[in-house]
Amino acid sequence: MNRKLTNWALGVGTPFLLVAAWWMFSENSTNTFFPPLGMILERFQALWLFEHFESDVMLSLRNLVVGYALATVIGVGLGFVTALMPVARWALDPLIHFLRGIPPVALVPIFISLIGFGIEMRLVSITLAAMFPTLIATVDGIRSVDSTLKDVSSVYRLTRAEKLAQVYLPAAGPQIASGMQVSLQVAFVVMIASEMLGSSQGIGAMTLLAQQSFMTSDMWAGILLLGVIGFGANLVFEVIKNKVLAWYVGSKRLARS
Amino acid sequence: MGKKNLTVALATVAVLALSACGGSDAGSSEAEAAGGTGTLKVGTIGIGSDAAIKMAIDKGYFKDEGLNVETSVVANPPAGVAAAQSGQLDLTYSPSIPMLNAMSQNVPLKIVAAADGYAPKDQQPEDLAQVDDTGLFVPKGSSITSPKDLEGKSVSVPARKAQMEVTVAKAVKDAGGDPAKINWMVLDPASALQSLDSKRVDAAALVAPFTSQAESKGHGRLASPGVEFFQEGAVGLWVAGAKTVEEKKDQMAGFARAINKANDYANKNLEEAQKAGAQLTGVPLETLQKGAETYWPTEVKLEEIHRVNKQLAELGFLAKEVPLDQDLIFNGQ
Repeated sequence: MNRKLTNWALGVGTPFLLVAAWWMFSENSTNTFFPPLGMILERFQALWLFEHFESDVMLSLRNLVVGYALATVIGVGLGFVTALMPVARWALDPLIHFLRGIPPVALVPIFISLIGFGIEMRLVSITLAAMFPTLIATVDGIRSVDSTLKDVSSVYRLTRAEKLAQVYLPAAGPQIASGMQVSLQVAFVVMIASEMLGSSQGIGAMTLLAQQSFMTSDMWAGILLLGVIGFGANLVFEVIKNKVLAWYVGSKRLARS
Repeated sequence: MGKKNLTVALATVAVLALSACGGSDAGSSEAEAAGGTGTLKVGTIGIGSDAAIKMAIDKGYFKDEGLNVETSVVANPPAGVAAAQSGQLDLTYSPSIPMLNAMSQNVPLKIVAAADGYAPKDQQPEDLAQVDDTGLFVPKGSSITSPKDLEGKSVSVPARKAQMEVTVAKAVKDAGGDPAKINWMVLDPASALQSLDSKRVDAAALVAPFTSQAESKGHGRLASPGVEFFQEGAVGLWVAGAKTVEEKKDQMAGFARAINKANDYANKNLEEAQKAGAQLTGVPLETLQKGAETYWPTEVKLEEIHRVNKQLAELGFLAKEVPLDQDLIFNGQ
């Protein structure tokens, strides 16, 4: 119990100390590129709360959420197909590993020439890039399902749908979840990268613009917001994961004790 | 016990890291270069007009001044200005607009020499397309006939709030339109050309050599926003941090002399300069020759910078004019 408390204190205290140190050491800074934290927070409030909240923050977040949701659904779906159908596995495996090796950011200009530079381009970029970690984790997860489980589900004569939904999916769940967590980070990176071209709306576009116009306080405010959103997204993910995979977390704890 | 130590260690690391960011002093390497000799690190952006600095290196103009010039390509002018301000570069290429943007945010800069620009008015040919290395293009068959018509339309630029957007905004305003009503898009030149082909944009602001490509595809030139905005004189500048100029006066003076000599030579030997430019950029020589003639001014006049400054404020790109004085332009003293 005591140990848990210390860990919590560390988790909360370290960022707090860092921010305090940042504040103190930047307070009298005259360096244009490293303005005082107080000034950055002022700009943060002026920009994001709430002048550009609707027009830029919500826009970016919507792209992130929709793109990520699509990536997860397609990734898990394709993962099942690839893992369970030998033909598909042989046909798709090399392609998947070829495509996932390409840095997603490099594909943005190609998407622009194919589908223009609207929201569609941003969504496709996010979806495609974020799909691979989930897809690969799903394939691995299903392949490593315990053979006893497979045997038992055959003995019980489960239908194909029952097998998929009630045996394979839960068994591969923990691995799929780790893949989805990586996908979330990728989606976040590509969300920002996709805003560098096309209409200059969104958090990434605004931050880039601030950087190129030497409005460093605005740039730092954007970076801060991106950090907060990334942190928040991960937190939400962890909470949902722990809920959905409660049985797994519980069984692991049981195994440890 | 162990954890307490860890906390202290973490805090120390954080403090150290942050204080390193706080007052970044220029590197110590600057101190050694007191005489007229030394190495200058120069940032370029890999465009055709870099031919002049390349020729200055190849022909030994810098060596004659006792200078060793090392160039490196930076991503864009703002990145170069940031590197020059922090002392990572001694000089960098920057058009006057990003330089004024930086100065409006209190980045201390000085102009050392001109990098490119437009010939004096009395030497310019009638056809502005021959002078201007930039152009505003509309797709083949477009019904747009004046920059005024671009209100409410989508126009692509290489970067927001930068030179092309400023000059196009001026063209629209001069034609009686409202630049604020334009839907600006950021597109790299290749995507911009393709979007013109597929009519995904209503107009595209392009820079050479993409202007020649747009012309050869039959897209219409709506305006020559560069020369209309700048009129004449220096546009691209060799810029340095004020502190670096102070510390390396002699070398900066040598750099300016060598560059001015090279600029003059390039103007007089255009074909040779174009060949050097083609080699630098990988653009075929014929394409370069078809485009506008580059001009390399041999001096920078304060009034040219003033003119840009005033227009930036009038168009709303600067909240107010940046205070400028003759000190902005390094004169070798």
